[in-house]
Amino acid sequence: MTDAPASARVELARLALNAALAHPDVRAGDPGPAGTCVTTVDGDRTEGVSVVAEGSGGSYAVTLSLRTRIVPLRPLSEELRERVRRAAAVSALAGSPSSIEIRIVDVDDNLVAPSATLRPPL
Amino acid sequence: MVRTVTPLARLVARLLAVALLIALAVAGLAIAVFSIQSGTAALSLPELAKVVGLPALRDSLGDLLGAVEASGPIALLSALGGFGAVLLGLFLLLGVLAGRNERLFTADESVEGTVAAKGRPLASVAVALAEQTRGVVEAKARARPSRGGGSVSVEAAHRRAEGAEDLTARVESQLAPLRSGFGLRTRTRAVEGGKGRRVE
Repeated sequence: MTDAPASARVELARLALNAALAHPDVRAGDPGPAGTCVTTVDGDRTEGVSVVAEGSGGSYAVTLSLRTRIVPLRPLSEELRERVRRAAAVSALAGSPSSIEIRIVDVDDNLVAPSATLRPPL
Repeated sequence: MVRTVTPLARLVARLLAVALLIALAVAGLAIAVFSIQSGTAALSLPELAKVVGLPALRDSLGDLLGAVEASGPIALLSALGGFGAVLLGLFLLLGVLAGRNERLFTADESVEGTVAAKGRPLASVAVALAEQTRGVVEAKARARPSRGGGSVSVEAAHRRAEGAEDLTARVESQLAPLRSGFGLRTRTRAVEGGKGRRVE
């Protein structure tokens, strides 16, 4: 017996979270209040990402809920958005992100990134 | 006050919801079992009413309702009970409804998506920025959301030799990225010394 292939939504959720976690200033995904930012498939929880279909054209609204280092948050968010878009573009997934919401829910107080001067715009 | 009571209300509401679900499941099971037979057989609904004691309850409730209608101590107790029930209902509503909305500070909202952060990370960044300021020994910050975008209050501890006004201006200058990035209002208060630190 073989496992059924994961849906495009779930694949996109995993891809988006992995792209974000690959960034050195992102520490982890966060499930959000009452676990609202979680994708669950067959009991397997992926915390820190939720993906919702928008219409029937294979486009999805992606929300990432993240804990990061203390770095300029706005440039980081823009960079993460770009990473997710790039990762989705080069993958062979059926779904693509139409909008990407980045929520920074916490930072690690003692983990100012070595490269981080907090002078650039946040 | 509401912030203090809300976590307790939420806990009570959750426990009560679980208890009510269990009671509902047990009642449903009992009704299903006692619907197997009809008439006055052992597994019939009239028999279930007898097992639960509904006839006795009807009699005692009739007496109680009669006493409540008349003026007197029982009526006063009933009024107090009703008032308590209303308060309990409001408490449970608070537990169910309050605090569900995540308080986020939005930096950017467009068709591309939203960039937002909670108050704690923004306060941590404010502390990091303030503590980079020359003359600041220690800083504390608190972020508060509001309809206009929110604000960050920073308390910057400094050495006695430093002028408070200059230091406040320097800290405010350091906090400029928070104002431009997240549209926050910033307010800095300079205080002498710092918790657990020696003032030079």
